[in-house]
Parts: sequence; structure tokens; C-alpha cells
Amino acid sequence: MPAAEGIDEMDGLIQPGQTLRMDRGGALVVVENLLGQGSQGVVHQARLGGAPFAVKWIRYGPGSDDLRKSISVLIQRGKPPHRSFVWPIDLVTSDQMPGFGYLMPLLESRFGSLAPILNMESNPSFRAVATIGRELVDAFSALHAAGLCYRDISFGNLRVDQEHCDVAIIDNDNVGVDGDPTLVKGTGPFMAPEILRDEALPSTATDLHSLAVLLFYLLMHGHPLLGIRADASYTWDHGGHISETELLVRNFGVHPLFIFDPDDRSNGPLPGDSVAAWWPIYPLQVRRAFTQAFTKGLHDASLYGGGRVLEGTWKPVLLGLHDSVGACPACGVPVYYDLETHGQRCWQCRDVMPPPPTLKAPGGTLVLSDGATLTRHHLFRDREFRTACASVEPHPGRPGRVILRNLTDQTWTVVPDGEDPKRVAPSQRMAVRPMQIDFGKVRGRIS
Amino acid sequence: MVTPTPTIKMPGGGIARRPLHFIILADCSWGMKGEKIQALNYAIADMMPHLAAWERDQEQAQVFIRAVAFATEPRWHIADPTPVSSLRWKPLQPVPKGLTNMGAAFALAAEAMAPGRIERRALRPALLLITDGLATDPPGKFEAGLNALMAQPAGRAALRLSIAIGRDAQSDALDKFIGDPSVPVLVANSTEEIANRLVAASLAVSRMSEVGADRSAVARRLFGGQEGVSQRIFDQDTII
Repeated sequence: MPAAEGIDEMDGLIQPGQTLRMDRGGALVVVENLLGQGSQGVVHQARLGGAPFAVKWIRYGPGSDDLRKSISVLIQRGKPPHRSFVWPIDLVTSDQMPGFGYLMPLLESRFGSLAPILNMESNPSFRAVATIGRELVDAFSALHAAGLCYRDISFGNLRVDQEHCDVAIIDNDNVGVDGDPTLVKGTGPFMAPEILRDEALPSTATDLHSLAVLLFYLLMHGHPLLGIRADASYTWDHGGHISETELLVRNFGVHPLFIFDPDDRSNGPLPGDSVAAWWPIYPLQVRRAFTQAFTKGLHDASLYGGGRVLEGTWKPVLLGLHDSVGACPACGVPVYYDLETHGQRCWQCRDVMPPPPTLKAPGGTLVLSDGATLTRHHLFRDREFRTACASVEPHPGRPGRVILRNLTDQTWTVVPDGEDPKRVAPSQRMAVRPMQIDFGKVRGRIS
Repeated sequence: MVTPTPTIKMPGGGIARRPLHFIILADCSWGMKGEKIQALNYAIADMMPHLAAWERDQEQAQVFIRAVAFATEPRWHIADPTPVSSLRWKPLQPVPKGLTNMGAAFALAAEAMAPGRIERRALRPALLLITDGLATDPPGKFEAGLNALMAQPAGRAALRLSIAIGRDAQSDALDKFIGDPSVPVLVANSTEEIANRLVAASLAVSRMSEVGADRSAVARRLFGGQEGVSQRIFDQDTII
């Protein structure tokens, strides 16, 4: 958020140069430059014992005592076991003014807003988008598994490092125990229908709706419920502007209808809307998950038994999506191969794409396309998504074909169809063709 | 540092964002000549990158700028909605012997609010009136102009803010333009403060336009009036 220097002093907010005192132990924190401000308070860089941190100072006013209590609980609890959370470390107070703040880790400068991805100003690869989606799911899953809920999932609270596909979840002020009462309700387009109708408060179940909306925005570049029917309610005529809140409640709360609802197309995508171009390029398994989230999941908020889509479903969907990335053999554009579909056509040149070579391993089925990586998770199902066991590269002698390079320290034994068994030593490459592979402890099959 | 990659063709475009129309009504009366108009030009040029940075960091809104320059008569200084990220500000010039007729400026702005001129899905537009003096409108003209603006649903719904250059510039007229007792006139006591006030105003507009924002709560927080805030703040004209 843009910083506006020099106006804090009129608002009882902290200033660079001030010292604040940590609650536990009384260590002193020196306030440095303003990093950003929001409706709740300001965030400054700070120094503790010579090391850089960040401090958020909450505007003093109604509700700040309750917020202080709930942040204390988060501090006591410690952060969920996922590196993405920027979690409060300790409360801080000032001798010079009422109110409080909290110390937290300083977010590295490699993280930025997701807006450039959504607006298509930056163009992360298909694999990067799938990875970012999976990282987001993994993070919220860790939170929910700890019995907590986020309550205000929206892009404003997320940051991404596009180069490494790492995500950061900032602004954990609103996190609380699933089921506890709260004043926070969420951010418009992400709020679950039952919250907009004022029938429920934020919870893990409503977080899952927000997560589905987030993933839809990320993959499909649009809102799942904003189609022609919802659009028709926006008007400047008839004596006035309908308030934003009323529009939200009506279109996303009372009468929500998925733009790709298979049984009711009356809220289809607006003509020219990007979503209509993005939706069909995704494999059926992805579209099925979104369809569940925005048909049954709209009306059935239960976690148990088929309502909201759980993270346990999103994870294999996004892993599978990542594993399905390839390129059209005819025109070279990136594609997501749909292994359930015969005769899949390239979205760009409309040629029918032959089924790509795939490697089926215990942890998933990987399309063997240039740039693909076989990870430890594929072999051992241990969630080590960033440890490479093999890489797929272009075949130097045969254009259009690929090789698999052994990145492990084990020698593989491979039996290509119709050939004698061969050994592939560490660092060696082999041409991809139908075969059985023995990786040492696990086996796979290339088809 | 991310190495730029060659542009790969993509199946579709980005998210459809909702237009946020930001219309500046700038006083170009003769009283603004010299330091004041230069400070104003600088301040507007300075405000744009803040708005552009805010726009870049969120995915819901896209900001478009227009500007009316007014003195005895109003005219469009920027007539077409211009994306904030590509705006190049042409400096305003004061009008020799120009008066400060605000009503006519409001009526001109009202034309931009007419049916069909603001997209159906636009967020509520924002009008920012910047002036250094009292309205010099002939009798009835101020009200007529304001009524023309209010007669348009988009004009009535618009967020209206005002910056007064110099304490003397404050007036009932500006309060009437704003039309919301919880939102005070922002006063720039010196030319140096103009840039500051403009940035604060633009941030206020962007936050108040956020979907789901509780406008009066945001106004209270940005402009003061919250219980528990020290008394010193209520003594100031502007509270950001």
C-alpha cells in the first residue's frame, strides 16, 4: 500500500525514532520507516537487538482492547506449522501514547502483491500458477488443521514471490479459533453466501468458500459468481446507485449462481470476459472441483459430506494440474493436458494433440514435457515438492522428443518395451519411451 | 531479481476491473497565480504515482482521471477518462482576472455523470475540489450547479472531497459540496501542505471505494472523530 509520509503524528500513531517496549522481557524496539498503512493501523520497519523486524501499531479506539486480547492468544499459541505465515511475535507498547502494537518478522522484499498476476501484467508460467495455488492451499490447510480460521481471506492479505513461487500470508490479526465469535466479517467478493446473508460468522467452512474464490480468480481471472445476471443489477438508473453492500448481498449472498453452473446458464460469463477463455483450457478434474465449490458448496456449508471443497481435495487437484503442463506439439503454446480426455484440442491452433508421454509413479502421474520435474513426492509421497529426482529436457538429437535426466544418487534399472533392461546412472539421461522404471525403492511406468 | 521472459501467448486476459473515476475540479482563478498554482500542479503530479501504486497493488479497481479547470468559466482540462498509470499532467494556468465560480464547474462535472457516461459497473466516482478562496458565484448559481450534480445518480453517489488552500478558503460552500458532516474539508495551510493533502485525499478515495468498505468508518479513521483519540486532534482542521 502506498505510504504517505508525515501525517501520522496527527493520528496518535508511532513515528520513526520512537522506542517501543516488548511485553515479554521488556526489550526495546526502535521504530523505523513506514512500510504501509491500512484501516486498522500502520506498519513500520523496526529494529530489535540490531536485527530488522516489522511492527504493526493499531489505531487506538473501540475494539482495540478485544483485538489486543485476541492477538495475545495468537502469540501464546505460536504460528501454524507453515513457513508462509507472518505471525505476531510479541505485543509492544509505548510510554508516549495509549494503545498497542505487535512485533512480527519483516516480510522479505522479494514478496509482492498478487495483483500483477491477476491483471496479467506479469505472466507467470502455467507451472508457476499451479504451484502458487498449491502453496496457498497448503498454508491455509495448516491453519485449519490447527483448529484456527483466517476469517478474511482476500488478495490484500497475501503476497507472492513469483520467481520462487513462495507465498506469504500477512495480516494475521483476524485469525481465531474456528467457531469463536468475531467482529470481522471478511472482504466483499470473498465472503461466503451465509455470511453475506448474516446467517453465520466466519469459520473454517467460510474460509473454504473464500479459498475457492481465490483459486478461481488465480486460475480463471474472474469471479465465479459475477456473470450476466449479477451484472444486470449494476445500474445508475432508477434514481440511484445500489450500494456495494446490497449488490454483494444480492448477487453473492441471496441469489448466488455459478457462471458455469451446468444446470443453469442464466448467469453465464459476460461477453468478452476473460473467464470464458480460461475455463475450457483446464482439465476436467479442475473444473469439477470448482463446479462443486460453486454449486453444492454455495448452499451446503458443511465440512463433512460433500459441501465445501476441502483442502484435501484441492491439493491433489493442484498437484495434478502442475503435473499436466506441457506444450502443443504443433504451435508450442503452453497447455494443460487433460489425461481424462481423448482428442483434446490445443486452445490456440485447435489441432488435436496426441496424448503426451506420462510417467505414472506412486505420488502421481507426470506429463513428460520439457521443463517437467519428477520430485521426491512423486516417488515417495512425502510432500517434498521442491526436491528434484529427475528432469525432463529436449532430446538433443531428436526434435520434438524428450529425455529424462537422473538427478538422484541411485542407478535406475529401466526395461523399455521390446528392449533389454538398461541401467541409468546418476546424471545420465535416457530417451523417453514406453518402459518400466525401477528407481531403487519405488517403481514407475512411462506410457 | 526476476529475469524478464519473452511474452508467451496466453489463452485469455486478466481480471475485469471496475472503473474508478476520479475527477479533479481545480481552481484557476487569478488568486491562484504564482506559487499556489505551481504548488497545485506539483501536488497533482505527485499524487498520481500514489494512486497508480495503489491501483497496481489491488485487483478490483482501475483508476481513470479527468480534470476541470475553473475560474469565471469552467472548461475540461482533461476531458477523456485517462488511466492513471499513463497520465501525463499538463500544468494548469491561472486565468487573468478569473473569478471563482464553482457552480458552473459542478454543472460541467455533472455532464460527466450523466446516464451512459459512467459505466454500469463503475465504483462510485470521486470528485476532488481544490480551491484557494470563497465562491464568487452570482446568486443562485452555486446551488444550481450543485443541484445539477446531485440530479445525476452518479453525481449524488459520488465521493466528494475538498482541499482548501489557506484557512480562509474554508467555507459553508465547501461543506455543502462535500455534503457529509463526517468528512471535513482538508486544509493546506501552506503550499507545501498541498501535496500532502492530495495524497491523503487520494488514499481516502481509494479506500472508500474498496468493495465492502464501511465508508463512514473509513472516513472516521482517516479524518478523525473517533472516541479515545486525543483532544489535540480535534483542534486541527485536517485529520489524517
